[in-house]
Parts: sequence; C-alpha cells; structure tokens
Amino acid sequence: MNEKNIIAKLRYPSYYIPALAILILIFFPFLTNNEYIVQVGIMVLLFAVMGSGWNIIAGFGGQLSLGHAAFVGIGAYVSTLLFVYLDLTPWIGMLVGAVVSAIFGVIVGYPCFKLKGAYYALATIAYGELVRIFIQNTNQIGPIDLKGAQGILLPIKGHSWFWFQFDTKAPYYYIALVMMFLAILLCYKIKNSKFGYYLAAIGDNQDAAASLGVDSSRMKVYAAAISSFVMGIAGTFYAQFLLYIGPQSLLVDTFSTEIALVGIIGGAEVMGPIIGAFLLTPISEATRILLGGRFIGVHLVVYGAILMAVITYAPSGILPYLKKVYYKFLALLGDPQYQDYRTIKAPAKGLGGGIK
Amino acid sequence: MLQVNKINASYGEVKVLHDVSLAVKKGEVVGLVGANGAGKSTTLKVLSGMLKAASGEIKSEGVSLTELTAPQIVALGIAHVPEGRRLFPMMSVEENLEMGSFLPGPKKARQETIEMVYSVFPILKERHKQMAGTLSGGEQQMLAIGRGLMSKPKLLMIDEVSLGLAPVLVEKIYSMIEQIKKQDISILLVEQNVYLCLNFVDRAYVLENGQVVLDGTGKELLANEHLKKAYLGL
Amino acid sequence: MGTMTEATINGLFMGSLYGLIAVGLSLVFGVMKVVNFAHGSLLTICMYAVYYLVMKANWNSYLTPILVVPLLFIFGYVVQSKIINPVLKREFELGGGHAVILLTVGMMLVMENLCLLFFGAYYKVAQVPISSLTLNIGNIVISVPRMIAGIVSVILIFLLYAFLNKTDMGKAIRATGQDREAVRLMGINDFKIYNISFGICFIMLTLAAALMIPMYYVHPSAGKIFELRSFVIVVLGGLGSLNGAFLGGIIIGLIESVTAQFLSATTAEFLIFLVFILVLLLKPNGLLGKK
Ligand SMILES: Nc1ncnc2c1ncn2[C@@H]1O[C@H](COP(=O)(O)OP(=O)(O)O)[C@@H](O)[C@H]1O
Ligand SMILES: [Mg+2]
Repeated sequence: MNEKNIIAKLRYPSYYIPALAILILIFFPFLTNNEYIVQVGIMVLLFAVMGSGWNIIAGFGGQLSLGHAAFVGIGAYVSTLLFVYLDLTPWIGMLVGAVVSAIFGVIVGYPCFKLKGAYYALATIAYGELVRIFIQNTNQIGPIDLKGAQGILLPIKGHSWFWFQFDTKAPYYYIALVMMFLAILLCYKIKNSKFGYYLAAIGDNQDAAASLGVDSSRMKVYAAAISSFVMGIAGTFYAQFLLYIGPQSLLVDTFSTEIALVGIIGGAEVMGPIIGAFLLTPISEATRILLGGRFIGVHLVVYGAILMAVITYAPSGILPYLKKVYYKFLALLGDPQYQDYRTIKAPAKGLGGGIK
Repeated sequence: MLQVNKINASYGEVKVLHDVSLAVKKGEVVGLVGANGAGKSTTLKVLSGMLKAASGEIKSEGVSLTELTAPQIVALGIAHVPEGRRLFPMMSVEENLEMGSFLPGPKKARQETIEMVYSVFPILKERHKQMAGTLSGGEQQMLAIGRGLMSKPKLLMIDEVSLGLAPVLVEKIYSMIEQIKKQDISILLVEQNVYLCLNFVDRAYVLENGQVVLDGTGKELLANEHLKKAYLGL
Repeated sequence: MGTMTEATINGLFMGSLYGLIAVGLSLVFGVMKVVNFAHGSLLTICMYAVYYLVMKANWNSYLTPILVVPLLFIFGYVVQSKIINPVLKREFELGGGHAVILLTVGMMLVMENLCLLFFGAYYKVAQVPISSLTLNIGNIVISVPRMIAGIVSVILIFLLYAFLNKTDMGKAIRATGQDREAVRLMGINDFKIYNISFGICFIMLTLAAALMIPMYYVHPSAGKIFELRSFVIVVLGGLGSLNGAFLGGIIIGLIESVTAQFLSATTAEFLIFLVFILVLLLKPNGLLGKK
C-alpha cells in the first residue's frame, strides 16, 4: 500500500477516526497548559505499557499473574542503582534493568508454569511478596545502599535527554507515547505470529495444545521473558518520572493488581490493556489529585466495582463491546466497510472465561 | 406413573434427543436399550432434571416435571442412579446412603430404609464404614442403587446396570432388582446388554440416534427381526 | 531454654488461631473449588464489626459473636448467592477462565477500600483489660488473650470438624465438594450449599475476629497479612482439607514464632513465603496430599 493510497483512504471514517485519535495523542501536551492533566496522560500511557506487558503472558497465554509489580520493581531498582552509583544513563540502565527483569521472569516463571489456575496466581503473589519483603528489609548490599523500606529518591543530575530528566512534563509524555506504540506493535506482532497462536492455544486449553505438539513450557517461558522485559522498561520510566522508588509504592500487591486490572478490564486482545488504561488510570489519578494522600487507594473501590461488573456481565472485557459500538458508529458515519457491522467478528475469549 | 411426550434435548449446539416419548406404568419394569451414544443416558438426565429439555413434556402422576430442577424431582419420588455411579468417594458407605435420604420425608424413614437396603444388599452392611471410593465395581453399583432407594422413590431409574460387571455379579444385581420390584417400585432400566434386558423387563423402548424406533413387550422385541439383526447378532 | 519453650508455646497458640482463620478458606475451596482472594478482607470486616461493638457498645469482645455471627452469616449467605453464584454458574456451564478468582479480587478491592473510606486509615486498638494480662510460669511469660485465642481456636476447629462429619448438613457440604451434580440427585441444592458454606466461612472469621480484637490493631488491611498466611497454610495442608488447615496453621505459627524469637520477624516473614513457594512447586497438593 503506497502513501497516496492511505491519504486517499483517509476519507473513510475507519481511517480518519484512528488518525484523529493519534493526532490528539501527539498534540495532547499542547492542548492543555495544566501540568496535572499531562501527568494523568503520562500515567495512562505508562499503565497502557505495563498492561500490555502483563497481557502477553496473562491475556494471550492465560496465566493469571498477580505479581507483576515485582518485574517493574526490578527494572526500576536496577536502572536507578546504575544511575545513582555509576552515573549510567537511564537509557542504557533501562535495557540492563529490562534484561535482569526478563531473567528473573524466566527463573521464577519456569518452575511455576506447571501450576494451574489459582495455584499459579498464588505463586505469583508469593514471589511478588518475596521481592517486596527482601527489598523492604535490605538496607545495604555490599557497597550498595538499597535503603530498604525508606526507598530511593533519585537525584537530579541535569535536565537533558542523556539523564532522562526534564523540567517539563512534555518530554516524559512523548517517551511514554513512543513506548506505548512500541508495546502495541510488539503485542500485534506476537498476536499474529505462530508464537502468538501457540500461546492462545495454551491459554485456551493447555492439554489440548500439548496434544497438538505445542511445547507449552517453552512458549510460556518466552512469553514470561518478553512480558517481564516490557515491565522492566516501564520500571525505569516510572523511576525517572516519579523520581522515587520504594517497596511500599512500587512493590505492593495492589500495584500488581492495578496492572492486572488494566488488562482484565480492557480485554485479552492487543488493544485491551490500552483501553483499560485509558478508562481506569484517570480514575486513580483523579482521586489521588482530588483527595490527596489521606485516602490513597480509594480509587480501588471503583476499580473493584468495575472488575466485579465486568466479570459478571462482560467476562471478555470491555473491548469487544466497545468494538461493537465503534463499528456501529463507523457504519453510521457511512463507512462502506462497516455497513454489515453486526456480522464482524465475535467477541474474543478473555481471562474471565468464555462467551462461547 | 411417568409420561414423556416428545422431548428434545441438546448439548450446546448438538441435538441429541429427537421427539422421544415413553411411559412407565405403576409397578412396571421398563427397559431402555440402544447402542452406545444413542441417547439413553441423556434421556434419563432429562427425566431427572440434570439436563433441561429444549421442548416436550414430562409428567408424573399429573404433575409436570418439565420446569422442575433435579432436587425438586427427587422430592417427587423419582430417583436416578446415574451413569458412572457418581458416589461420594471420600464418604463411607453409610454416609452415602444417608445422603440418599437427605430430604425431610425420606429422612424420617431413614433407619427403616437403610435396613431394607442392607437386606437387599447384605455386603453393604458388612462394608458400612468403608470409604465408597475403595469398594469394588460391583459393590459400588449396589451402593449406587441402594443410595437411589434411600429417597423412597416411586420410580427408580438405573443407568447401565451391568456395565463393567462380571457375569456372576450381573445375575446377582438383577435378582436384587427383582426384589426391589416386589416393593412396588417402578423401574426404568438402561442397559447395553439387550438380550439380558429384554428377558427381564415388562416392556422396553429401543433408542437409535436419539429417536425411539421400536417399543413393545420384552418378548415381542426379542422376536423382532430388525432388533435381532442389529442388537443380538442373530 | 526458657525462650525456646516460650516461642514454641506462643507458636502453638498463634498457629491454632491461624488455623481457625484459614479453615474457612479451605472449606470454601473444598466445596466450590474457589480460591477466595477476598478472604482477608472478610476478616477485616469481621474485625471492624467486633471492634465497634466493643468500643461503642462496651461489649466484652468474647461475647460479640452472639450478635455478629448471625449477622455476618447472613451477609456471607447473601454475597454468595447474589454475587458469586451467578458467575460460578456461568463458569460451570462454559468452563475455563479465572472468572471467580477475579470476582473475589474485585470484592477484596471493594471491601478493603470501603473500610478505608468509612473507617479511615488509622490503626484502631481496642484496649480492654485482658489485653495486657500475662501468665507467668517460672521464666515463661504467656499472654492471656493469646492463650485464650489458641485454646478456643482448637475447640472451634474441632466443632466445625464434628459438624461436617456428624450432621446431615455437614455431610451434604462434604458431598457437594465431592460431586456437585450427584448431590442434586439426592435432593440437595448445590448452590444453597455454597451459600451456607460461605456463611460458615464468615462464622469462623467472626469468631477469629472476636479472639483477635484484644490483641491486634484494626485497620483497613488488617486482614491482609492473615490472608497471605492463610494461603500458605491451606496450600501447606492441602487445599480443601480441614485437618490440613489446622496442621498448616500450627507449622506456620511455629516457624513464625521461633524464627522471630531467634532471628527476626522479617526473616520469619521471608521464610514463610519461601516455604509457600517450595510447597507450591514441590507438593502442590499439600504435605498430606497424594502425589
Ligand atoms: N456432556 C456431554 N456433552 C456433549 N455431548 C454429549 C455429552 N454427553 C453425551 N453427549 C453426546 O450425546 C449423545 C448421546 O449420549 P448418551 O446419552 O450418553 O448416550 P448413551 O447413554 O446411549 O450411550 C452422544 O453422541 C454423546 O457423544
Ligand atoms: Mg450412557
């Protein structure tokens, strides 16, 4: 498809609406001069990235992880320590952190993958807690100051791309935006590869997949490595953006839950966690800003209620329903491709079980 | 006792029963025979409320069972000894029997009924403390039937009476069913051993691909040419 | 030597309390095969209920169950029948998925954070006369409320055990756990049994809360630490097994109190999760389980 063609196609709603959405995302920091709102946007993008990473193992592969904060934490701690002690630029620290996180993901993942259902979820909670307890109670490893429960405040080393530090929010926003697009691309590539097909087969029915010759352990290990790599990348961004990392905010189980909820509520498809983040994260950020520190966690009432409603009424997540509405909207706008929107694709199966 | 009128049933998309009609009169022993997969177990499941019929009507003594749930149907005196026996493996023989008389009515008569079951199946009395999961196949079948009797049914439906049992045991179980019959309990038997079944029952229905293709007294059916060819290998 | 004995006694008392807390989780799993991720927040609710009765109405903590047990039994019954059963029903019909687990995660978030909203993040303590009472035997010091909690917990677990083994309802609950379709053929409504089991889980938690109030702070995530303990305990003892839950409770209580005495509370915490992971990986059916 050449460029001319795309431009010609922009007269169809199914092309100009996504294009418009992307344009809004790109110019978002210019649309407001309220730093808070840009901050909310950044957190939305960050959660979209983390949700996408989680989705690779949990949504695509059907392995319900409730301990993914550990991988974000490892990425954040590794890059931060390199940044603080070795003056290493976070861009490289990010990769190192992500690799360490991926290795950890494989090490803890491998033995856990033979566990099924709730047992696997319990194991992920257990290793999440182990990482938290370890960091929370370790002040010093050799010459390295881990600062235990207190957490680490990142020093300002200079406002530049090299130090991954800026005096305005916009650069963070664009980094997060690029990260999100890369995450979408990665998930899209996985979903449409043989690997993605195997993962889906495993998530659907592990025994049936095995009988078709799918090496489920190996596939899950790959998925775990990629998933925790993405989490590690997000961890570095988290550290550089918030300038503070600590076990009580980064490693607690509720953080794991929040990451998982973005994926569950969105749906187990490529765009699921993106939609999830755009719906949920503003709620958490708004309550944080409006209610302040006294009620940290109150947004979780809303998250919990949404989760319960989704599981009860829309177990495949919100995306399939949103898609239906979107297709209908496109049809109303006169897009010729979507006139028979009713027959387009049945909703996919999600973690909440099937609409068979 | 029981009238079944044109029931249809399916598992998901797959239709399994097509307009099945049958009847069991008071005190009668009726057989339901057919090849593997013909829909015999499915018919019993619909009758006992384990599976909902898509259409059709089931009546017992004037009461419509079509909309009732399994627990409500047992309460009306229709007991189902399911395929695979479905005992509670981690509970003792006695506890399994007690569960059979969980409902308030049968519970009042529990002691008597247990004595009756023990007199029909003396081995169960010997084993009353043993876990059901550790019984032999024959003993499990006796317990399953005994558990069905505990609800003081007017109609007892037994799925796959002889499946997996040695010939001596089969004979024994049938003689025990004979005893049950004498207590004025109607019986609906599902049996793969067509010859055995037709010799035992008063009447029988032949099910093929979810449809009743033949019915009549045991003797009539034994003489039927189609049946002889298809089921008795004669 | 005194300290070792003291740590062991404390461990036994704490362990049987842990067992009491975990037993409901195990029961619910045994009956409906659901790991209830909201278990800890249920305990939190029970603790608040007992706390307010003690503080606002001046009840003796140990008497609060008279009022709280029936109330929370009904609450549990209704939650199960109105919220969990519909999803469970769908999962039975369509199979697969983690729907019920996720539903309980949602319940946990709602309950825990509603407590935060209503009762605030503050640590509340019900300082009652018995709280600081101790029993001194030689050089061994035993906290009286802890001793009461330990002994009463054993009795309560035994009573539950007797209920499940000696009464028709108890047997029906066990039977439902073994074959939920077969019990329907006995005239037993499986979903009603689920409601009752969840109610019983609440009863056990309420009783535990009454025993705990004299010695623990109440705050919105008070139950959480016990929830994680409970997961460890029931997996250790084998999910669904009541004896297992008691045994697991004792093991965890002992590990915790002995390690905390001689090393540190953190080491104890770390060790508990290490044991958890090892048991999950090596003996997922529990120490007593087959395979
Ligand atoms: N639980 C089930 N789900 C889907 N199909 C089923 C199920 N049980 C039975 N069937 C199908 O329904 C048909 C009738 O089965 P069944 O009633 O068990 O036959 P029978 O008892 O006569 O051997 C068969 O084709 C079988 O494959
Ligand atoms: Mg059959």
